[in-house]
Amino acid sequence: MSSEPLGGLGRYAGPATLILSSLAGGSKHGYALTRDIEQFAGVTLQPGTLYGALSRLERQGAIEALEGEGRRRPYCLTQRGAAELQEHLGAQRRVADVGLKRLDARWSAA
Amino acid sequence: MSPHTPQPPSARAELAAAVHALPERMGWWFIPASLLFWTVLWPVGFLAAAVWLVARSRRLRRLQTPVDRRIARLLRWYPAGWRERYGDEFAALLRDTIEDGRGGLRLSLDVARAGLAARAENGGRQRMLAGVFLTVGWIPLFPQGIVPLVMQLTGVPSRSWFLALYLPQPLQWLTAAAMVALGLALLAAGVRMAGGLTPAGRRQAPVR
Repeated sequence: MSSEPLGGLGRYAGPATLILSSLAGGSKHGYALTRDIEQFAGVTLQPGTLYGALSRLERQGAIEALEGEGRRRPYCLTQRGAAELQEHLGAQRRVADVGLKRLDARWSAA
Repeated sequence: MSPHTPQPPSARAELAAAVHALPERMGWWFIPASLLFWTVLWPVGFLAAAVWLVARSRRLRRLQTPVDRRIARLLRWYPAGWRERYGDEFAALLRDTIEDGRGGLRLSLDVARAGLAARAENGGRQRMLAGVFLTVGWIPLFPQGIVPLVMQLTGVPSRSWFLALYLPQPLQWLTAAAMVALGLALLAAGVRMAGGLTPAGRRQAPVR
């Protein structure tokens, strides 16, 4: 596993976090992923961006493809993907906690 | 008119004389090369291009709806290996997106950008270099290398556009040999690069 969570994804790190977070709730195909991400993050991933990130995540072993439903193919999170997502979100949470605490301490009274 | 007055040569005789003089003026290889080009290479190339255009047009016509045609056009941004792996499911997503009313210019730009990124990731630069080497390598090898060497050996006077034959005598052999070496090196590099390429998006076993 990369020492950096979701390392090596470059510009796809953001979409990858959204995709892994969506798949943490269960397997989904491309269009269902797009709609789910829109609902929980308010971000619309265009098809090219979505599949750019999906193909990289699959190569890294963070997700895997399941049997297709017609032409649609659902994807699910792997153990490795779950661990990477947990590590990545944990790091983000630490940053968010520090930022929120400092905001509360110095800016909430303003 | 006196019977001794020289007759002007007929057009046929002029043509025959010109053809006869060709090997001397242009080099012995000119006639077989011309014959090869006009009887084989040019017609075969033209025919192959015509067959390809007709087949492509038929394929496109079989795709019935404008959405089908648009999806096919969008998919072409991606390399063949990627399409083989993700093509069907990506086409299904594109159809859902377009039918949902989100198929504007933004979709086309996003797919084009992602497709080009997939091509670049698939050793695009290496593929391009291999193509350039395999195309350009023939120029130093044959017309600037082997042909001047043969002309040196056979003593044909034409220098045409053969670089080596414009140089002083001792350098002619050396330059032609260097051209052969350069051509072989370029072709070998091209073959080596092309051999190292793998189809894009080939499915790999997932890591569990």
